[in-house]
Parts: sequence; structure tokens; C-alpha cells
Amino acid sequence: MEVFGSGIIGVYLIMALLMVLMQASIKIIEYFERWNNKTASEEPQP
Amino acid sequence: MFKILEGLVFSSGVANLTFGHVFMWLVAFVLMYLAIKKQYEPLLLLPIAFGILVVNLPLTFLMEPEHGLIWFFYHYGIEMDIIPPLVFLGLGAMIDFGPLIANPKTLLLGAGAQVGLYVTFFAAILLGFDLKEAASIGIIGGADGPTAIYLGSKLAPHMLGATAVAAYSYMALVPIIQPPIMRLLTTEAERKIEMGKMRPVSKLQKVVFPVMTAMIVMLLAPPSAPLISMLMLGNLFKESGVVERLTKASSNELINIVTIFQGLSVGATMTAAVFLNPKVLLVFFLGLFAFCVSTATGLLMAKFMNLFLKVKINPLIGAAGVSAVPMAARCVHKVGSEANRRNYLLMHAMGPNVAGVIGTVAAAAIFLKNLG
Repeated sequence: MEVFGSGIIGVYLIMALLMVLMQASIKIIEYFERWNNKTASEEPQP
Repeated sequence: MFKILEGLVFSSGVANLTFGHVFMWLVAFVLMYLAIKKQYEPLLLLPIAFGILVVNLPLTFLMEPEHGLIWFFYHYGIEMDIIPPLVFLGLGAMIDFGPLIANPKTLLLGAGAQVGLYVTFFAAILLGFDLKEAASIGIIGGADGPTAIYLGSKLAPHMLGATAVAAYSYMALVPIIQPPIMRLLTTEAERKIEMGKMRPVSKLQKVVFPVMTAMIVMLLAPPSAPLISMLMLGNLFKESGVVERLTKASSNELINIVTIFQGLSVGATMTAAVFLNPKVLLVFFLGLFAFCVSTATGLLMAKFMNLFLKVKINPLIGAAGVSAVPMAARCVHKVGSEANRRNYLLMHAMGPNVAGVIGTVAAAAIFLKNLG
């Protein structure tokens, strides 16, 4: 019963944490990419 | 002259044949038929079938410890955990995690499908298997061959052949097993739900994903390290785009070579003495049960998520939470498009499908942590 319970909870915990951290990293990367694009477009053309 | 002939006959395999050997030949021939004629997972079933055949030819001693040729493949490849991680390296180099990154919520569907593993684990114990055997049977529900072999070789090596053949057979039978369960557990209206276009995923997100996933999963479940590290390394090769030769080698030559040794070694564990046991029949039955329950729990998880989501998902994609990449996703797409011609679920189903691979590895790691 212990293996059964800890197994189900463990898998959900790993996947849920991965989901949350993945969503957070996506937000950060999107913010970084927007900032990067903005900087690139603001640079004066030679 | 007569003595020479007599000696020849009695020292040959023919004189040592038993009913068990002949029965195992039949099993091998059936698997060869399924692989060649029906093309059910031929890359695996063919070497497995050949392994079964040759190991059941008397006096060949191919699996004789320290002497037999296939024993060396098995010992160094499977027992020492070399082959399954190398298969995962190749898989990582082939898999596109883009659909999962586009919709990270589908990770929960990958987790939902793993509930079937634990239900089967419980059922196997009730049917008289010990904890380690029950875990290696339950993992069949994950529909992930290398993980089933990895866990089986550690927890119940005496049942490895049966669990591996069951896992690959049911993976091949996805288009037959899953659709009735999908139709049974969803309404027509649910199957018709259309899912919009997927969010575009940038290269940076795809490069960060394997690094981040490897770190998180290995930190939380260290026994998953051999499999998850190789899976994510292969994916990093692919997504970085700077090591094309390594990506190609991992996804072609390497995975093809290790697949040969994996199949042959697993098949060779199925000697008559091991296979002709009522418990093996139970393994096949429980494997099918695991696969069905995993499909069902994936679907039910998607329906449960729909209670909270503003934009509903098509619950069929939950069935792809069992690994079986990409057959389960294709099957979801087929059933979805039967209900609604405008439904294009393939890429949406790939998210839970690849999440299922990670989920099955996590489940195997937890089994190993508790029972290994």
C-alpha cells in the first residue's frame, strides 16, 4: 500500500513540478526573447 | 560405423528435444509471423522471436553463463544497464518535445496514464506475485519497452522475457486495444471538441527543455538518472543543432545496433523452463489489463482537467499518455477525426505521448527507489 500510494503521489508530484517550472521557464525565455528582439530593432542601422 | 552414428545422434540436439522446446519454437514462429506479415513492431519482435528460437535449440548453450554468446550480450547489455539507456539516447534524438513545451499541462496527462501501472501493481499482488514481480508487470502499462526491460532486469529478471514481449506486443496492438476504451469513456460531443492551433515554440525553449527536465527529474527521482539523462542528452543533440553527426549517429546507427542486441537478449531469456509456467500467462493478462487501465486513467485525467480549464481539451488526447510513441498519438488522431472531420489531434496528442515517456521513467524510478 505504501509503494502504491507513494508511487502515484510521486509521479504526479514530479510531473506537476516539471509543469510549473517549465511554464515559468517559458515565460522567462519569452520575456528574454522579446527584450532581445526589441534591443536588436532599436540598434541603429550602419 | 554404427557406434559413430549412434554417438552423433545422441550428442545432437535432436536427441535432447523436449515438448517445451517445440512449443517455444511455435511461440517464436508466431512472433515472426506477427513481425514479418503483420509488421507489428518488427524491429523488436523479429530479433526477440529469433532469440527465442535459437535459445530453445538444445545443447547450443547460447545463454550459458560465462560461455554463451547471447549470455554475453544479455549480461553486459541488459544486466549491466547499458542497452536501455542507449536506446533512450536514440529516442531522445528522434523525439520532438515541441508539442509538450507548447502545452505543458499535458504533462499531467502523462502522469494520469501512470495510475494504471499502480492499479496493476496492486492487482498483481492480489494474484500472488511478490512486490518486485508486481512492479515489473505493472510497468507494462507504461507501454515503454526500454523502461520495462530496465526495471524488469533489476526487479524480476526471471520474468524479463515475458514482460518485454508483453510490453512490445501491446504497443504494437495500440490501434486495436485503445479505440474501444476511448469510445467507451467519452461522449460523441467530447470526441468532437476541436483544439486550436498550437503555440509556436522557439529554438531556445527547445534547447532549455532537455537540460531543465534532466535536472528536475533526476533531482526528484535519482534512480531515473540512467534513462532520463540519456533521453535528454539525445534531445539536446537534436535541438542544439550543432552536433548533427552525433544526432544522426544516435538516432540511426546506435539505436539500430543496440536494438538488435536488446531484442536478441530479451528473446533468449525465454527458455521453455521459464516460459512454460502458468505465471507467464498471468503476466500477459495483467500486462493487457495494465495497458487498458493506463489508457482509461489517461482519458479520465483529461476529463477531470476539463472541469477546471476555460479552453477545453479533447479528452481523447489523455489516452496518448501511455508512451507508445507515436502509435498512441496516431490512434487518438484517428478516433478524433472519425468523430469530427475537422479535428486534427495528432500534434496535440504528441504532447501527452512524450510526457508519458517521462512519466513512465519517473514511475520506474519510484518503483526502484522503493523496491530495488
